[in-house]
Amino acid sequence: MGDLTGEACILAVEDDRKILRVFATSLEAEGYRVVDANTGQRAIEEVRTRNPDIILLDLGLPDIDGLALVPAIRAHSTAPIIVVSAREKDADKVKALDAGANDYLTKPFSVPELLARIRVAIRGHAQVGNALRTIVAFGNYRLDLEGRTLLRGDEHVRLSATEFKLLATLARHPDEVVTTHALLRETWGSAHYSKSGYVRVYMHSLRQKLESDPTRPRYLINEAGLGYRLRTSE
Amino acid sequence: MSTTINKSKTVRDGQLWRLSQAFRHALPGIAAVAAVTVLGLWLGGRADLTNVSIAFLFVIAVVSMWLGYQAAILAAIASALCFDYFFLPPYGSLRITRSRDLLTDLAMFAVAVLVSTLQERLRRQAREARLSERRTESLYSLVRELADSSSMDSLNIAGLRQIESAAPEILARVLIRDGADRFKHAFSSGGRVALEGENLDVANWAAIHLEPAGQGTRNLPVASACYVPLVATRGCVGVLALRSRVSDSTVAVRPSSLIQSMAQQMAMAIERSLLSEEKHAAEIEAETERIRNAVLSSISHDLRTPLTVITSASSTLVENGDRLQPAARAEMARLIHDEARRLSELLKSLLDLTRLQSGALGVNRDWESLEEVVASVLRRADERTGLGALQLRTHVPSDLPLLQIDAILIEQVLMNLIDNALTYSRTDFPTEINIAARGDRDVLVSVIDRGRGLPSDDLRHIFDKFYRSDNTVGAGLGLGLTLARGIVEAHGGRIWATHTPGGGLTVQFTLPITGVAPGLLEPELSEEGIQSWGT
Repeated sequence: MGDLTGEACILAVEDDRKILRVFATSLEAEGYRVVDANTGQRAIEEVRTRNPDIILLDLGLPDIDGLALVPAIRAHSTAPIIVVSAREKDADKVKALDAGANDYLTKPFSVPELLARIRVAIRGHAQVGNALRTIVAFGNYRLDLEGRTLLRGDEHVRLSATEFKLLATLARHPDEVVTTHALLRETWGSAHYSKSGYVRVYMHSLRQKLESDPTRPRYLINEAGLGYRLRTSE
Repeated sequence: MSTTINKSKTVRDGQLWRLSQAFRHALPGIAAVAAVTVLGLWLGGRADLTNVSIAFLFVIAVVSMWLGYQAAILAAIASALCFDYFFLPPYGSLRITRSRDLLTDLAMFAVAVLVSTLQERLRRQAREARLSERRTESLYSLVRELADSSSMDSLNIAGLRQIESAAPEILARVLIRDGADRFKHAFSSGGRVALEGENLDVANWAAIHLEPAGQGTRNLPVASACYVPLVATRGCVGVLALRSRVSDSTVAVRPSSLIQSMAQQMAMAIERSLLSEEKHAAEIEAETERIRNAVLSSISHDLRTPLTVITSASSTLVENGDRLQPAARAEMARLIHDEARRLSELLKSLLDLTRLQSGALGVNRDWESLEEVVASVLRRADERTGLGALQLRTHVPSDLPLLQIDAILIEQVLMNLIDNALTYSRTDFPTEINIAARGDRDVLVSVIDRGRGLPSDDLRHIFDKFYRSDNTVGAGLGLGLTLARGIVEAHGGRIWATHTPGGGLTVQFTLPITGVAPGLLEPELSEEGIQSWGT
């Protein structure tokens, strides 16, 4: 959007040259324009001057704690932020998502995984422009946020109030990870971590109603230690 | 026995008191002499001087035997005076006219001195024998106690108890020195105590010079306690501090030879204990070294295989990429991809295991759903090449209770078990994951493959670190199962392996059901239009 040619501009914040090289090569091959920043300071400058469409943010930076960078970027840009970090930093991922990041990737990851997340992020961001979408479709389900109904094909799916709130919260961020914390806040109004068991209970009953095989869910995807995502695209 | 009286009282008082004591002591002797005199006069002893003098000598000998030196001399003086005065002419006078009468008097003194000296010597020998017996007993029970003590603490406490029971007037402590020759802490007979109140400079002097210092010694005698170094073969291992039980006592504490011997025994025991601690540490070090070597050889083997594939495949692409058929190029790239993934998994297991063992891998328990854990595992398995969903069959009851577990770690356990199962099982038989609650006690998770299975001997060992069955195919650090066991046990569960009926391996683990899991908060009002929602 920040570019005349219409190709999306991706800001890769990463201090490792080789990883940057691979990002740039594979993303440019897909038609994206890649800008890189190897420090937090430069990242903020690039966000201000280049107005990127997507930001890939490695949490381990030499100068600034990656977590602190999320709100700093949010102050200048609404572009989706995809957090990249090592597996053992799950707590950081949750914090980053709660601080305003949109998605995460765990190192080491494959390029197809990265491209899939970028596509989702761009689509999600575009949809924000359409403001409050009232119909969210996934598989042969249609969720009407306004009319508070869920249709499977032509047939109504009966949901309890809490189940509907949970599903609606996920549907407002299609294909993005919504943390357990955020689900608690949106559904129950409080965000006590000790209550996360209730999210599991209601997600279980949602899966029982929506998924044909709850151990192989197609739509209500659990991200261990982080939260859930509603998959709208296969 | 280890104390002397300070001569602070006036010397005069003491001497008078002692003199009167001596007289009181000698009184029975004097009385006996008087009785012999009266008896001799009554029986007409003046006519039979020989028998009278023998009677006096007999009394003196008896007094010498029973009442000691001073009483004997006094009795001898009294006898000589009475003999001269009452029996020797001129009667009523002390004058001696015949030289043989003087000889009789001298004989009386000679008997007194001789008999009492002999008796005194006997008494002293008996006392010394008693003392040495007590000393031997004290040392013997000290040595026995020290030998029975297994730890440094119990050894010091037992030793101090023995010292205090051998010298009840003394309060004893041991100050322990560390490797840097500083005092770390102290022991009293009650246990470990702080170093407060100890004169550490004096104790240090004793430790450096290897001789007693402080109160009751020639070195720095103004100190509030007496410090006896505990000297063993390697040098000073600690310092024994002795002080009087009575506060502001006028009696200086001094290290008796018994206490010094006991200190010697304690020093040797402490040194033995130190040596055994060092030996134990060395054994742990050796074990660590052995494991480290096993890790290194295992890692270098298991890492080298994928690295060889990656290096050769990528160099082919770099050097000859243009000349390769597209299919061959894709094949090379695929190999690199697969092997890099394998390396990554290997590294992750290794890191997790290290962190689990160092306690750094925290278990973050929360109410979690095993259904979701299985879903995650299946998704991860699907993402991998070759591990298709078709090969996994799951049975997860829909009414499974939530468990207080760390979902990420349990996912890792399942992933490791499935990795193993899929590696060894035959493709025409799916691997099964079965989960079942056993009452409200625990949940049993079973991963069942129908591969070649393992010999019974191996079943017990497959969870041991770096254990690899002879049946092991291809790479695979023996870490996945060790990690699984570590995680399951950290959750209070158990993990074991059995034969699958009809061939194959079954690995099962339990996770305890703890507390009351959250349930649905409201009755399932399955309304299509939900009135209460919104705002």
